[in-house]
Order: sequence, then structure tokens, then C-alpha cells
Amino acid sequence: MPDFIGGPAFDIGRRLEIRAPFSWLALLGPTTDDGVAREDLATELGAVLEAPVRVVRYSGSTEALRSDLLNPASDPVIIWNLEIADAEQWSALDINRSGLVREGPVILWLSSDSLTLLCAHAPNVRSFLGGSIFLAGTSGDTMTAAERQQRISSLELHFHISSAEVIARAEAGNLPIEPHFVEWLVLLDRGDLV
Amino acid sequence: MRKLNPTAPARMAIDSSLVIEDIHASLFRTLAARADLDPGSQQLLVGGTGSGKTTELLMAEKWLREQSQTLPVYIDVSGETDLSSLNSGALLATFGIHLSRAFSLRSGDSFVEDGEKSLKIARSRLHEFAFGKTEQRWVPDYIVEEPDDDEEFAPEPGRVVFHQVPGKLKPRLPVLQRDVQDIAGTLQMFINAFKSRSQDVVAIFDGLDRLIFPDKFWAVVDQDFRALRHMGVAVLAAAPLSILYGEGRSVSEHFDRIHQIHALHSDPRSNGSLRSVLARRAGTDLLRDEEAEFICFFSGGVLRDLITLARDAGETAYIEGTPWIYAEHAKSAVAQLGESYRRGLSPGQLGILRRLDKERVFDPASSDGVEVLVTGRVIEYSATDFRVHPALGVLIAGTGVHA
Repeated sequence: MPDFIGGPAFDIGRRLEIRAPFSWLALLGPTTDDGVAREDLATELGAVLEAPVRVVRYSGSTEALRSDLLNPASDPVIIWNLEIADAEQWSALDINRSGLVREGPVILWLSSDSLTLLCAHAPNVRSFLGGSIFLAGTSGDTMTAAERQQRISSLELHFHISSAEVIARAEAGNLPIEPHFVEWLVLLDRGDLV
Repeated sequence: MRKLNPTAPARMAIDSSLVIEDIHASLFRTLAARADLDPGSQQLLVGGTGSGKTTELLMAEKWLREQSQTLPVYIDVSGETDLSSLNSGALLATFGIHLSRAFSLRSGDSFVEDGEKSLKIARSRLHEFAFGKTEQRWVPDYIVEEPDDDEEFAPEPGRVVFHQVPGKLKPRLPVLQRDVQDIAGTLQMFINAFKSRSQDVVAIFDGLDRLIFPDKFWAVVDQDFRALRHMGVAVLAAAPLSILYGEGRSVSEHFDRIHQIHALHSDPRSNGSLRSVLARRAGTDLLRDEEAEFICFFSGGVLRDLITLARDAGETAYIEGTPWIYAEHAKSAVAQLGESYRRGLSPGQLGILRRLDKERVFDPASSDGVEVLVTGRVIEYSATDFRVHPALGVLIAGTGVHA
């Protein structure tokens, strides 16, 4: 079954960089989220965007989130702890979407389950995200085995070649030096071929 | 690329001339003209998420403002207060605050004696109604019997306590039920003041379509809209698609007119409107003919999805350093969008989509039918033409993304 494509921090940063203001996107964080991947992402994005990225914790209150997003309203923001939102809270966020609109980029840091709840109960937020939903992380250590395999499958689907072929080309020295292939080899534990 | 911004405020897109006025047969003129000619009329605008309702309401506001005899008051309700916990009186409260801000005394105004003082009092009442107030009460330290009439009354020992009277706007203060008539008289004073200047007031409520179930929508608008009708204020409001079907029909019967924005045709023979949207936003600078058709088709005729797909494909092309959006970029954008529609589908909803896709059978009045409609998974092209969103359809059918 297809899923969202991976979004290395550098690519996410470049997307945000070329986007006009008011942009929204979602990142699917690793299943075991100890905060390190999120903080790493904030640091990497900050470097690409040349601006500090604010990390905002969702407390369960729509009004508190609105206040956080609008004070200030221009910096890039990563919202986390959305796992605590149940269907009713996603619905409340959805109904009040206009109050969450801000000039600076909004990045929702989500688990797979919370993304499912969002898509089921927050059609207006989902509409804002459109297809801007990416799997976070570029290196194997921030992804579970299942997420790693999912990402590898996405790459195979996207480039229409198998992982075995990628390794063969890398060993033969004719694999393009391109970020996706580098990521692919790392995911296959063949970073030695980069 | 920056003109391809699906989440920019609609007012910004209008001011930047990125909007094609007649994309929905100049619906905004129809809305505005009726409101202008018929004070007290109430019209609803329904349509799918991202179909362009806000843009039409804002253009109606602009059109009305250009008519010197009308004062349009545009309110994005969810941008100002917690729409998820509104009840009767809250819309009047926000409307009153906007109306009082729009009004300032002019020399020669003669609608009330001592106009400045009356206005100050009215503004204060509106503010209290909206945001609440603190009342002072005397609480005796102990209860005493009523003094005899012939005895001189002396105040008992006690203390002053302050009692918070909540306002109507969440979440600054909690909402309590209150008779909307409390405030109608105050509002009427402002409306009469505008009328004395030969100006009719039109209230435009945006965001109410987020109340996706008819009962919730009706609970919020019922008393407030009735009060506005009595005051001779015309109303335009965004409303959920669900009022068109099943039990929702009983809600729509209360309004003078329901306007529906249908998705635009997206097949190659009749997608001229969508192509013109891309052209207006410079999307065709990046898109060749084949990829433009592909993106138009998979947008399903939903304007926000069209702009989203063009932007996402353009971003991928940019990141890969290609001068054009190629088929692979467009396919990737469509697959991502389709996946976001697929997430969160219940087995029952999935069954409905498969049945619609294969057998062309769909019941918009069923609860699951309404859900897939209001969440944009099913698109309505006409009263008899419902289709699965094409970006989702290819995932459900398992056919892959092909033009």
C-alpha cells in the first residue's frame, strides 16, 4: 500500500523556503518519539531557513494553541504533542482553523495514529495540508524497522528500480550522487557505498 | 511559484488579482444583489472544502461596499472566537462588536438625543454582552430579618464580593445562555443610525460551514439570524453541505435562498476554467500542456486541490533542479494528495466509495454519505453527479496514477 514519501529536513526546509507565507505541512515522526528527532529537525530547519524554529507543545486547549501561534505569528513553528488530541479535539481545532492561520510556516509533528485522527475528523486542516505530509527523518536511527521498510518501498516505487539494483549500481560506481540515493543506501545499511 | 499558494488568505488573493471573478458564474454578484435589494433576506452559501466559498463572500462584500447605500459587515467567526462551543447570542455579539467599530458619529447626526453619550453606553453594553463583565454585590455577614417599615434601616455588617457575568464570545469567558433580545435593542440603535444615513446593513458570516452537522449549525444560527431578520439586516452565510441532504433539509427551509458551489469540470474537454486558474497564478510557466491537464484532472475541480497539486509538483521539480514540472513530479503530488484523503477512512466509508466508483451508486443522505461528502472524498458536480475524488479514486481502485 502506498504511503507518504520521506521528507529529509533539508528538503522540507527548501520547500518552506520557496513557499509563500501561510504554508502548512505535517511530518510523521518516528514511533518511539523521545524528542530528539524533533529537536534535530528544528535545528536543521533553522539552519536551512536561517531563522530560529519555535517548538510549541499542544496542551489540549485550542485557545492556548492559537495564542502560541499568533505570538509571534511570523516565525516557523513545529507543533508537537498532538497525540493527546482525541476526535473531539481534532474537530475543535478544525472548526477553529481560521484562528490558527498565521504568516509563518506551521509544521505539525504527528504520529501515525494522530494523522489518521486528523484526516478523519479535521477536513479543513487536512485541506490546508493537502499532500504536504511527509515521513520525517533521513537516517535509519530515527525510524523504526517498519518505517524504514516503508520508506524503501516508497523510493522503489518512485524511481521504478529495486533496492538490489541500487546497490549494484552503487557498487559499479554509476549511481547518481543525489540525496535520495544517498538516503536509500543509508536505509539499506550500505552507507559504505556512498 | 509564490502565486501558487493554496493557504493564503482569500482577501490577499483577491487584492493581488489572482482570483478569476466569474469562475463560479459571478455567484458573488447574485448573492450581493439579493442582499442589497432585500434587507432582511437570508441566503446561505454551501460548497465543499476548498471550493472557494470565502472568496465569493469576500467578493460579495467588496461589491456591496462599492454600492454607497450598503454597509457590509464581514465576519470570519472561527477567526475571532471558539466556534466549537458557540451558542445563541454569540453571532449577535460578534456582529455587534463589528458594527459598533464601523460606526462613528458625524456632525448633523440626529438619530438620538445626546448621541455621543448614548453611543458610549451602547458600545459598553455590546462589549459586556460579548466579553462579559464583573458585577458588584453586597453579601451580609449573617442573615437578618427584614426591618420593620417603621424602623430606620441600618446596613448590616458585611462585605462586597465580585461576581463575574460571562460574555458570549468563547473562549475569553465562558458562554451562558441568555436571551438574545437583551441585546437586540442596542444593536437596533446602530442599525437605525446607519439607516438614517440611507445605509442598509448586510451581515456576512463566514466559517459557519465548519459546523458540519445541521443540528449544530442550526443551534448556533437559529435565534441570532431570526433577530437579525427582525432588525432588517440581510444575512449571507457559509453553511455546511449537510443542510442539503436528509434531515438537514429542514434547516435549509428556513432560508430565502441556498446557493451551492459545485466542483468545476476537470476532464480535458471542459477544464478551461481550471486551466485559467493555473494561468492566472503563473502555473503554466512551469507546466507543459500534458502535465497541466493531468493536474487539472486529478484536482477533481476543487480549486484548493488544483493549486496544491501545481505547487507541490513545482516544488519537487525545483528541488530536483528541473526547469519544468515533469509527469513524475505531478504523479508524486497526486499520490500524496490521494493518500491524505485515504487516511482515516472507516470500512463503511470505504465501502461507500467503492460502490460509487464501481456502480455509480451514492446516497448523500446517509450518515457515512454525508461524511465522505463534507470531507471532500466525494465531489458533487451536480445534484445527480457524485464522484470519488480522482486522487483518492486511483488508490481505492488500485489502478495507479495515470493521466
